[in-house]
Amino acid sequence: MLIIGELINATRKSVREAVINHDREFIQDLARKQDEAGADYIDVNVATGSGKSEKEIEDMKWAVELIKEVTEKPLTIDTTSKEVLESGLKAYGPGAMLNSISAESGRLEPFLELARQYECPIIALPATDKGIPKDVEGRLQVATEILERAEKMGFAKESFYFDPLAFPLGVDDKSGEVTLESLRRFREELGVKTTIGLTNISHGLPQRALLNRTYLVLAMGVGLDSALLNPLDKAVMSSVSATLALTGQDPYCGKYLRAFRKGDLVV
Amino acid sequence: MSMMEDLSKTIIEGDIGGVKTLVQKALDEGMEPEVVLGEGLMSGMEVVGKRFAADEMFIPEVMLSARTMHSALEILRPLLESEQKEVKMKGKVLLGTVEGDIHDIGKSLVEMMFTANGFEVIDIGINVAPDAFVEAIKKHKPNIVGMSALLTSTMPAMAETVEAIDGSELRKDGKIKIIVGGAPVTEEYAEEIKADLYGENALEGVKVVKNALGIE
Repeated sequence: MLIIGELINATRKSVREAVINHDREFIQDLARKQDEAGADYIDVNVATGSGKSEKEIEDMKWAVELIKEVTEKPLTIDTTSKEVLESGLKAYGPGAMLNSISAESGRLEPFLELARQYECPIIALPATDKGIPKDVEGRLQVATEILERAEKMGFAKESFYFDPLAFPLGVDDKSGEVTLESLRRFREELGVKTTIGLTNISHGLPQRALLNRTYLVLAMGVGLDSALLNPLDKAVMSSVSATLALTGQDPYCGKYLRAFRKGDLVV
Repeated sequence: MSMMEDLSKTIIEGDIGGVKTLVQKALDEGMEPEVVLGEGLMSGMEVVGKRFAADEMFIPEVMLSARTMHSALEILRPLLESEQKEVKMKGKVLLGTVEGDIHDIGKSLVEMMFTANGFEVIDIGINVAPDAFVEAIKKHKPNIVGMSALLTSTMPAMAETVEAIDGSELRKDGKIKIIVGGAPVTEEYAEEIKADLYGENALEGVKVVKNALGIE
């Protein structure tokens, strides 16, 4: 189970301010904490909403360089702009993850060229210029198209994590079900790895942490390979440990017991 | 409980089944449609707005209230329009997500909130080019134009759309007001691109539009 730490995201107010003010310590501290809490990758999103792409290109370089100083964990370059992506990948070097590609205009082949150049694992979203299909069939169809176009460029399906996109349950009460079924079918029919941006599901509802961690367990139950989440949330990380053990993915319950001894498991 | 309180309650509780019966009953008893709307249903929606702002009600419940209002309006709208009443819909809102951006959910919530508050709403969809906004404005003649962007990379398309609207002189004499919103969009950005209004969330958007139009 690959954990991507989501906290360095400039749509969060505190991070936005830190990026705008170039507060190195704040960003480095968030990176360090997520590393220590067990994140395998650290997501970096510096979209502060200035509306100026030059600014975002510079901010990405700035953030990647200073995060690299404090963690050995690879980074996930989180952007919808090719230029910002390139800036991040250049600053990081090979092995960063690309978050994300889709079938929207300009977000497939050009992004994949960069992924090839910098040897990136890739998160792919089933979106087109017409939007995100509401049903499982539609999402499967777009995912298939993305995979076919990538394979034509010589990519192996092992490079990809497909994220079916969990819409907020508050807005669409079938969203949880559609996302779970999409995850299952991406795995079974396309044979690809999967990931989800976990916290989207609970947007607008009370006690979000409860929904988030329950949903994670359900998704892991249909074979989820990765999740973008808050690794400082001990309850969610405890659920990861418990679920890995309960689904035969933790030999001799080794990780579970190590987490227990470190005092990381909470009920 | 009075009829008005009952009407208000159907909205607060999201009683889609009950609202139509009750609206019909009120009309049969001789109540004016604008009274049913204004004093009954809208006062319920105001309570919903307040409770949502106070974290006492949540999005799914607000949506259900909005749908309930929608069902009631299906009965009331033809009456309000045919009788040429003074009280018409509060205004016409044209909504779209800007070019390059395919986000739909936030805009749909905004649509629902405006409809629920008595506005007529035209949703021109996602990934809408500046020219398409201009054409739609000419066709539908709204008094409010709402734009959504959920990505920092598509926010500049908002600025371009504002320019295109001004380029066609559609905002001359304050005939329309432009409101922008979406997760990364800030009030400062709204000012910078010369939008008239900024909505931090769907209900806030309705509030600032009402203020700008001098309603309530």
